[in-house]
Amino acid sequence: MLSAEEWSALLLSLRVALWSVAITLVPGIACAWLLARRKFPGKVIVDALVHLPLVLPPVVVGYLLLLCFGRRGPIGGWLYESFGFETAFTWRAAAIASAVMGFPLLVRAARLAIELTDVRIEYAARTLGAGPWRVFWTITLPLSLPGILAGIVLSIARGLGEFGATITFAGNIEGVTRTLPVAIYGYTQVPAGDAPALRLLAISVALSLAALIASEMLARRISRKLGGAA
Amino acid sequence: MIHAAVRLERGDFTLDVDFRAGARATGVFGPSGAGKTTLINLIAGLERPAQGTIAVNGRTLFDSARGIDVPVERRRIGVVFQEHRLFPHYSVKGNLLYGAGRAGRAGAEGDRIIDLLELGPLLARRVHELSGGERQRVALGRALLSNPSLLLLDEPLSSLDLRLRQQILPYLRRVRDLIAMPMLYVSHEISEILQLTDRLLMLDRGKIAGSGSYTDLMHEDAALALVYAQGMTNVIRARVAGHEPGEGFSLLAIAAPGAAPADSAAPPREDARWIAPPCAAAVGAEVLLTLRPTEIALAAERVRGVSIQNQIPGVVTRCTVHDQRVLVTVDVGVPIIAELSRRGAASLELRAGQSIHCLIKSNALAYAGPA
Repeated sequence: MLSAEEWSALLLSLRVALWSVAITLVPGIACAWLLARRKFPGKVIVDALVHLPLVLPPVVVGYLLLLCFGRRGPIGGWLYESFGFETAFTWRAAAIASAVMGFPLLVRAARLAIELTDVRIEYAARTLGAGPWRVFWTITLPLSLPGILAGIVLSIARGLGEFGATITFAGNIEGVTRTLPVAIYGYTQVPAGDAPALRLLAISVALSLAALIASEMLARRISRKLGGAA
Repeated sequence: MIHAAVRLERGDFTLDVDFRAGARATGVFGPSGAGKTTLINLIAGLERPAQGTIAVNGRTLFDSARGIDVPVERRRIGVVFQEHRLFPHYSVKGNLLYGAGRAGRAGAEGDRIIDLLELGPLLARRVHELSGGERQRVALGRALLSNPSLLLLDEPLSSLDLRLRQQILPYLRRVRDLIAMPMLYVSHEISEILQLTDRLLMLDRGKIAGSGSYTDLMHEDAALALVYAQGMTNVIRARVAGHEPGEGFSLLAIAAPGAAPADSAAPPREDARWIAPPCAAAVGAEVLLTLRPTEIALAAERVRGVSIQNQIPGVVTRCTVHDQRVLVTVDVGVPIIAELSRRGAASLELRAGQSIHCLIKSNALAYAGPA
């Protein structure tokens, strides 16, 4: 049903999305916890930085990433000199691009979920001898898990649709960085590309719908839980 | 033993207290906004005093001068909060065992507490399947299983209705009697505290307004005014002397505070027996009675031809005026407080040392539970 090219675009997209979640999960939850539970100088700035990819044009984000991770950029140069590791215009660049674009969505959802977790229950756990780590693992994380999962789903969906930052930072190389949206764009630029473009479009719609429905179901679960706890 | 001398300023509220509390239960009484919960949070380590020292059983938990501030989780102070604060994603058993590891009381000692609070049948339940009273019992058990060296109870019954409170209080009394540890019991209801202890610490607007036994405190104007403003109730310890089921009443003998059950003593005089509504407690058992001050009338002599069943002779020890009402403390073996109108008091020309009769309808006596 799908051509080899189309298959490779789909699989690459899934791989990129999963890697981007793997990259953002721990820093995203840590960041959400800091913003939800701690007061520190410069919190406003951290909050703004986290949200920046949400408001910047994706192409700008891609270009910034290219400047940082390119072979002559500060991070990319160091990676290349030290490990011979190339980032820009590889599938890793696509994963980083979609991670950066999905990060704010994950942090927002996780932060909200942590803020909704009753801090007084955490205090009760501490009076029972639990240190901050144990409180986080046994109380905060389990109670905010549905919200965090919803955030993960949203950021995966965002990653699957990532186009602007990806094409700027990772390019459009078949089988390497040509994700679903990039492939669709490519097919629309050539004659007789309508049929494959439509097929990939259908797959994109299905994936995004599935992600949104999953996210909605998780959100309902959390509100039920909070309603039951009150 | 608790010794706390702390100061905290927050907005226009200042808490500034210096007190010691003993090895058993102490009631912390005061109107809302007096700083009771703040005090509990400071001792537990959930809030930080601006300056001062806090020590429990000789162990310093906080000392601003020496830079000591033991974190909450290492203070070993059990807290039962106003709201149950149980973990909704754990079963009852999971909640109980949360603090029972390492330094806690798992095993046989834990089982003893579970039995004491009758939590056995609840172990497999989820928190949302519990009633309000059951939740507070689990919260109490959870705190005890963490093996604290001090137990703080911050209005643990205030979220419950009156009937449920009377169901939980016996458990609190069992804990008080069977698990020897210092306890601070916070409440703005004096009758609730008196059902547990007569050792009191009174707080008013962030300051100590009095401390000592209830009986002694009721001789201090400030303490009396504070209790009166919050709604005063006499709590009287009595021993069941007999039942008259046919007549629909029980006979009670009043026990002096702190006195051992007087089974060896001579039978009480006839007039020391109170006629009270029928109760289920066995003859010889001790019960706690509550009696509102407004339900007591005073008479200079025995009144004849009156339906009121109890005419208890006593001696006036004190008279004070509060808000156009006169509070008269009468020693009837134990001190009880009667509240009269000024006009009513004036007609008796009350003075300390005067003999008087307290007229109490039997139905004005209510049982608060076993002593």
